[in-house]
Amino acid sequence: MIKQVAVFVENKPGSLRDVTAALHEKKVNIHAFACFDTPEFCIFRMIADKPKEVKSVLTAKGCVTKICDVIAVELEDELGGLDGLLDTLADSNISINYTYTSFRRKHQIPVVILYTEDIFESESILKRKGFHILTDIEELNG
Amino acid sequence: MIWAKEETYSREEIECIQLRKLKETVSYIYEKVEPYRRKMDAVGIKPADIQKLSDLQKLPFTNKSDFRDNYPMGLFAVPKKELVRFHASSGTTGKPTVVGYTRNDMRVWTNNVSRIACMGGASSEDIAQIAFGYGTFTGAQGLHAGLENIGASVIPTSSGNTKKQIMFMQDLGTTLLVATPSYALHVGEVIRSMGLDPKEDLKIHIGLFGGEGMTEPMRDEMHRIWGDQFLCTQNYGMSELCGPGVAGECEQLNGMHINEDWFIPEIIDPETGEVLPPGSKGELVVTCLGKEALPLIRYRTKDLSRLMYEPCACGRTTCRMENLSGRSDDMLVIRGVNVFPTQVEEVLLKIPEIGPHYEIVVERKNRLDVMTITVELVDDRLLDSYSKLRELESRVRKNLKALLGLDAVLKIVGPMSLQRFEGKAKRVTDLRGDGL
Repeated sequence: MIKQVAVFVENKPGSLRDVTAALHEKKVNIHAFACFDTPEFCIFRMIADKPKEVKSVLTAKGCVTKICDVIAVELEDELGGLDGLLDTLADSNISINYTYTSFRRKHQIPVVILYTEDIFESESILKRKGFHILTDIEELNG
Repeated sequence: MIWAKEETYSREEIECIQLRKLKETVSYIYEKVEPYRRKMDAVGIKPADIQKLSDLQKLPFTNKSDFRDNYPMGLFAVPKKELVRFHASSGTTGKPTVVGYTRNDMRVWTNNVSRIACMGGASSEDIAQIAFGYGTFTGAQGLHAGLENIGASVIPTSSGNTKKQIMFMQDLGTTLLVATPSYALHVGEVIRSMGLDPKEDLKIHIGLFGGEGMTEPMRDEMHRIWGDQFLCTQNYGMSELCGPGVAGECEQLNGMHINEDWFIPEIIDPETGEVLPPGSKGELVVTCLGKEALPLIRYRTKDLSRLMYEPCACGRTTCRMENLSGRSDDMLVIRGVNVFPTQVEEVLLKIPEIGPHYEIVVERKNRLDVMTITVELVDDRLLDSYSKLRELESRVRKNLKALLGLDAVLKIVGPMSLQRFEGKAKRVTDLRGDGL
């Protein structure tokens, strides 16, 4: 499992940029992010280097920020790869709360970030079914 | 028509009644209401010191905070078994302001409202639809009793459900509408949007408005929407004083006639408490005469107005108060409901996920008041999912609704987003302007 950072962002021009500017300044690399349309505010979720530092930088800027565990699972980069993963989850009656994508830079392998009600249970099921679960953000560089 | 002969008494006659009742009231309150007796003792005034009307100025004020400090019934002068009715209005914090009535108080109140209804053109011929919210607020029950008392037929529709209001207007032939002026404008617009012309298709020709102030631009708009024949008057009261029935406009539309044989008005400087010379604008202070359950002396209404003693063309001789021009405190009137920012604050402080800072914006959209409260999120646990944030939002709204009886729009922002104040915080922005 790896760490995700979630930030509360108000829905106004430049608010997301305030977050990325702070991270840029601290030379934080963002490997994946997700942010969807909501009327008043959004939760900006990301996988970034040095999550603890990200949290302290953003908290100091006055952002409500939270770190949590998410599952990062490798996909086969072939037709039906995503379908195979979702089939396994559906088969095990696991409901996905949200999901977004990333990739392993050097190996060009797609990675799916997943959050479910019980991520420990979900992780062990995926492992048993032969999926490769990332355990370190560094792996995304590899 | 003029309901009571007291409305046309000469100044000497009115003052004679006032002095007699004032002496009785002061003796009564001194004997029966301990908190006020202590106030009088603190300034060394005894009932016997009140010998002329101007001696009223020697008496201490009563404030809304006295209701809070003596909650719920510490200011009452009679035992509970003498009471036949309770009402309640907003307090400055979580506890409401509770008022009570004896049977005789109810009789006086009803007659005072009947006077106001007649001033506004009502008669026994009228079919009166009351679109004030029933419940513990005094408005609906007060107008209900006062209108029934003059022989009008009352339809107690209560507030809201505009389509049903219009159905009753059409089917029962309503001639008189009791509402807040902004709701009357809203209903009128809905009627027009249904392809009806209120002037042609309905029989309503009298509006008795209260619960919030009606500005002159609102009155003009009322005529535009409801037709020129619509006689719209406003009236004044507050639950502490009895409810509606303190003062009302006559067809001359030149200030609200005060029922002076039951209420003595004064205008003071809200800063110093000094009584201002006749004709000055300032805070209205009212002394209730002859009230049994809840006698009140020099109650500070916090409403800003001016008194006019010139005779009125309607034939009434009672003094008139100019339409309200604001408040000397931060109370808001939202959809006819009195709201104190401190009430909102109290609700917010009990919710740990948000910070202590807040901002209130009141606007009028579609003729209806909308209150938006902005709060700062402080608890990072809510970032797990949108549903947790939504749950927070609905919990805050539910708690506000439970205390204020009003729906608010909630806006959640990040910490430190709201302005910080070094001195007195300015947390309320009222964008309603002329009320339209």
